[in-house]
Amino acid sequence: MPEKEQFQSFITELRRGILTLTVLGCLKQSHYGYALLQTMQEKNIEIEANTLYPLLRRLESQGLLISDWNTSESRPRKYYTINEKGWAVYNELMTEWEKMQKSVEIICGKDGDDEESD
Amino acid sequence: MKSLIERYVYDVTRRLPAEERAEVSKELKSNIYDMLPDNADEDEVKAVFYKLGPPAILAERYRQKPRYLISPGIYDEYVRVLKWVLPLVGVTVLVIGMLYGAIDAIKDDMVDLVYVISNTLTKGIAFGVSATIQALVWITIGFVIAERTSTRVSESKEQEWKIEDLPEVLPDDNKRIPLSDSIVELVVTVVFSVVAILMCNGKVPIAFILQNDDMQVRTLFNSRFLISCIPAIIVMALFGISECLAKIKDRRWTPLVCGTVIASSIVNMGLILYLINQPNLLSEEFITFIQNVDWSGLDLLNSIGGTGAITPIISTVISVVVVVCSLVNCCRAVYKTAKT
Repeated sequence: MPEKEQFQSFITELRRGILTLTVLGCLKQSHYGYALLQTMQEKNIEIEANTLYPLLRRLESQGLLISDWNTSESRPRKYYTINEKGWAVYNELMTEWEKMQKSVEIICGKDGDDEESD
Repeated sequence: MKSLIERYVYDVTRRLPAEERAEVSKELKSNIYDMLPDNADEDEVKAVFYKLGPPAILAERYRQKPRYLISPGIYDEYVRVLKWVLPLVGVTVLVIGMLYGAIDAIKDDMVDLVYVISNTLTKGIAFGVSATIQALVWITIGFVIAERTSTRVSESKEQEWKIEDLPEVLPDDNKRIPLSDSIVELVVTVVFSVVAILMCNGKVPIAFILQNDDMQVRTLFNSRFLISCIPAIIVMALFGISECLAKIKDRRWTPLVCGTVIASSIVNMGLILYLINQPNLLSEEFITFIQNVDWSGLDLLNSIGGTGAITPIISTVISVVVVVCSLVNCCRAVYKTAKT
């Protein structure tokens, strides 16, 4: 069991780095908290509600997102959308992500063990 | 079910800085309702809470600036401990210091009462203040250490968390009687009553000083009057203590608390009025002293009947103050109880 836990913590660590990138990517279209959670889970980005909701607030306070309370529905919902600064950060993260992906392919692809990735 | 959500959200937001609470509360509630199906039952609500995890952890994640000497997460507890411990330590050590000072002065063979009193007060205050500061420093250091090691604590809490841990009621600050206030009141009541009984017993003198030709110490009150005060003080202390105990038990303005407050106020009022209007209130010495003082400067006093009127005037003023205070206290209790 501890081995499985350790494995899980490696995966969590790996995912954590790309959460900001994927959240910013999803928010090119405005989403409210729970809708964003569902969108991300549909796209197989595993993120917990208790990570996502505070993350949205943090990104907003860092000036990467704008938010707006929509009160026209039955319940008020807070919609988040990426703003200009968010776009700049998103583009930089994306460039970095592509570079990292290439590096990983170069390094790990050379091993030849991992045939499933192309 | 709505109240369950309120409780969960409250348990998260109470750990956040005040300026963030309203917004996080609104947003979190909206998110929780989104996660629930329409007409959700209690189990479904609980399932959502378990998905969101322990309020302490969620609050930790919501916290924008985690760098605090003492973070909002444990700040409540810090203040509560200070409110409990500081008055307790301060008053206890003050009394010990006073006893020490008195014994010290008597040991020095100083029969001079002025010296005994001043030594008692100086030692008492010095001891009390330094002990209070010591307590403040050590409690703060303790909490800072707890703060620095709190990540490990919160990790281990994660598995143990239960819905039942949520605070039972949403405290409304106007309706609540803070526990610390009641405890301080209790301590003050007990200490004050003990000191008063010692005074009446003649163990601690209530003195006034004549400085005509040489320094003399005389008692202010008639000693027989003082002895008759003791049962009254015990009765007032008992009512005061039961009032504090009711407040500690219920912690809000319930009919029981209201009843004990009113009973205590009325008993206090009655007994003080009775005592203050005793004919033999002041000692012979004090009355003689007053009559010998040159009152010629006070025309008002002469116009209302000379020095003989001084005792009734003082009694009347004190009686009016006591009655007004008691009635205000009763009305306040009734008003607060009615509002709850």
